[in-house]
Amino acid sequence: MASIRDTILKRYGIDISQENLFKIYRLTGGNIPAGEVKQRLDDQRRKWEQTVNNSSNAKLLEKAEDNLKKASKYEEILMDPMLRSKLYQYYHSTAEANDSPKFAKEYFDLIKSTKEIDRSDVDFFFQYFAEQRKNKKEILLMLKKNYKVRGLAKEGENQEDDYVELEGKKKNPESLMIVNQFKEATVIKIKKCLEQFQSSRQRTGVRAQYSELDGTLYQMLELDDIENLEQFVELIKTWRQDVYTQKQEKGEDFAPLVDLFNTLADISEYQDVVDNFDSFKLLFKYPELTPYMYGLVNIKPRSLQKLYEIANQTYAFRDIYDFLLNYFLPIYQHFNIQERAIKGVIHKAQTKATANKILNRIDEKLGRDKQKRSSMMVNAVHFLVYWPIFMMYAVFGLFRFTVQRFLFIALPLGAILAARLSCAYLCFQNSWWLNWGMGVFRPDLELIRLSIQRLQIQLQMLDTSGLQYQKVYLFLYIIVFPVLAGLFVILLFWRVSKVLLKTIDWIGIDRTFKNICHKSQLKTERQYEQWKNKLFRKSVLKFGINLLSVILCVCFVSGVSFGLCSIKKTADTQDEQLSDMKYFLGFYIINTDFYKSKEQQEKWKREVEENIEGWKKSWPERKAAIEKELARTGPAWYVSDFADCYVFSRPNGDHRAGTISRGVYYLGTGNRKMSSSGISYWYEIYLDDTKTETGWGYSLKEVKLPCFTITVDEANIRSGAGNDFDVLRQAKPEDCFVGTGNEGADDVGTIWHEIYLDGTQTQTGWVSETIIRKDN
Amino acid sequence: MATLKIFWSSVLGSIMLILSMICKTVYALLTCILKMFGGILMIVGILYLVYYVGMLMQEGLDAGYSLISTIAENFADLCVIIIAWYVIFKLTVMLFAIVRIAISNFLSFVLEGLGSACDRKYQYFIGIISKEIN
Repeated sequence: MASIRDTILKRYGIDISQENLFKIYRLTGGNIPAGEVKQRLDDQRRKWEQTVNNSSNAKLLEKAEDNLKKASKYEEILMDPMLRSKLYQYYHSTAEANDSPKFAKEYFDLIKSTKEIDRSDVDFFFQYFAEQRKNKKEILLMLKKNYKVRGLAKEGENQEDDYVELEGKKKNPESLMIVNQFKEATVIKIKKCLEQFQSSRQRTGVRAQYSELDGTLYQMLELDDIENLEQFVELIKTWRQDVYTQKQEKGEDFAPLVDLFNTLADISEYQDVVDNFDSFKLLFKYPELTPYMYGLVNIKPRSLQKLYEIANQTYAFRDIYDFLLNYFLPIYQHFNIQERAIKGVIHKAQTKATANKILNRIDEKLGRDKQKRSSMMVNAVHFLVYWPIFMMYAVFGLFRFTVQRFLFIALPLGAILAARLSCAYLCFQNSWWLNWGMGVFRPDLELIRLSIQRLQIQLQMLDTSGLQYQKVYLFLYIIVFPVLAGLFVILLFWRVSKVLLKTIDWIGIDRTFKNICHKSQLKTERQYEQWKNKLFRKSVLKFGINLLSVILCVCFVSGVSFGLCSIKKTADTQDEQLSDMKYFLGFYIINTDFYKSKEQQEKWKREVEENIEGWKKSWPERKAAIEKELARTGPAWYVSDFADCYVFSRPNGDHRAGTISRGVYYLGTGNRKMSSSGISYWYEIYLDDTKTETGWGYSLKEVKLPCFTITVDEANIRSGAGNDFDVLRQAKPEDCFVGTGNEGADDVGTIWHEIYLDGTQTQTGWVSETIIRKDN
Repeated sequence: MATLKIFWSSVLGSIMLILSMICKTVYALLTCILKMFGGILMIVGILYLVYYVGMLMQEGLDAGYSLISTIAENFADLCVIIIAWYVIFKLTVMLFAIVRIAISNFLSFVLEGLGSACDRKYQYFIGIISKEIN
């Protein structure tokens, strides 16, 4: 019924609850023929015109003038057969509700379920529902008969004087309190405010001036955004000044609005309002429930259910828990609840609080209003017609959610990055920087397990080699650098989040969407009211268009995806053919695509695992080799058999000292140092034959050739095995030469060894064993 | 064909909104990286210096010198290293500041411009939707 009232109020600015058009035109039914209605309307207009022209009674004159002003709108409403019929139904049902004690019975039934009805309840009822006073006799009779209420006035006794308006009284200490919070005077004043608001809405000039009057009083005052009484007082003050100015400029039409804000200003001074401002807001939000809440005392589950049903006749609560959480409990919280059953329901509602909060937010976003009930059909039609907008809103919501929680995303991301960097270093060592990107964001417990094993091996190696200080570097590589990288990512996300929150007008965009959703909801409701029966049929076309558009979109996206997949597949096939070559060249390390498939990932894991197993198996042998290497003294020969490579002034690859050629043998100084990875050694070598320049080389191959050192001041190196041969050159003490492995004896039986004279091993010579020392 | 208008305005509006948000995010991300890069450079520089000096000390310790003797022995080297490091670091930071301004301007021109254009288009589609609903 509220809907036809709203429709007419919105379209014509006439509140049919205040003006009975059927009574004004003396129409007897909703289905009167149009000709007869037209006749009645014309007659009534003529009568008013006559009154205006001839009457001397100021009151009648004013009333006729007022009616004449609105006559064209009245006639328009009544000439519309559908509106006329609905209007008749509205008046008929309202009359039924108002004229019979049915409403009173319903009200007192509910009150009776929680307490014994007494005189104060009856007084309040007639005070609050002033329109029920005309049925007072019947109601009193019913109360005496059905509810055995004592102390009521005798039949026929006039009690009008008893119901003096309470708005004059600021506080009556003896009066009942609404659920221990609000005094009767406050409740009545709120009712008065609502009446003044309705009265203001009926004035076309006022409505034209203030579009806020289209909604409810709660919406007009924007109580949702007001957090405390100070803000409320400030708001009332501003409004008051504004409406007062309007009244001064535009006349008495604005008087009810001025009264409304005067009343609100009065209320804001009441102590119960000061003490319970949050509950006070709810009295404005759901005013239809206030008289019930006032009367209820020791509430039972049955009365709670009944109250919820009454609430849902006007408002749109999802279920009883939604009702409890959003209305009942905030008001009822100070009540001393004795009833166990109620406690159970309340407890159940409280457990559903989080879910309810989320659903409330969704409702709010979609423009659904709890203060107004809309049918399921309206909601369904609304969703099906406007879902693309919701989709757009959802995209925005998702992005907003992500940006607001960037830090929560960044924390695990940073931690994963740090862990992966550590693991990548431990598993790949020399090429870790090439491998860090490989599946770095993929949480992988297997990789962690392998890394721990690798760490154990490395620590063992460092301990065995006596290189404990290398653990510091290990600590740097696997803890400090990854943690710094993780922190960098977290810090970056945090800063980006801050920048985005500042630069994008989130609230503005959100408000726009909310507004659109709300307006579209109102539009659907309006259309639903206009073409209740045809709306679905009309909407079918819209659904069809939407559906067709979706199919087109899906086809387009699928087509593009399919096309891209085909291209990728061709590329993958070629890639497969190349993979062996890539593997051979070691390119697989940086080709992350190689590991995309599960099989490839498995293969990679197997490789790492086999590598670690191999390390474990060969460990005793390696350990022995390390120990032997550490025990060994004296120089050896080193060669790079892979390529020309650099040598460095320090065993860390920082400063180049020169280049060594591939295949050339260089004499070692005897100094060596295990690399930080613990895998191989840096060797110090002489870069020239004069042993003046040295350098540190990495990954050099040690050559197991005999090494001869000159022990005398002047040693002759001859072209053959014997003193008879020519001297090729002379050598100084401590000069080292690599032996070719050939040896021979001279006439007296002295052994001569063949040696290489240069690093390139092109020239050879012979030296007697009497002037040399064999080092290995 | 109000429905079609609403549908396509919503689809295109969503795309524009996403593009606008992406542009703004990428711009913010790159700007932040650029701003933080000075700090990163400093941290890396300091770490490198510490590492280098550490290596120098380690060599002395390996050779059997005490820490004080090693410092005394390498004092001149250390001074040169620190001064050279400071000069190189300062120069790098200065050079980077110039590069940063250039990159920032470029990013601002491309990404911010693109983001604003998408934003305007998104507003345009929202306008169409509002008009159709009203």
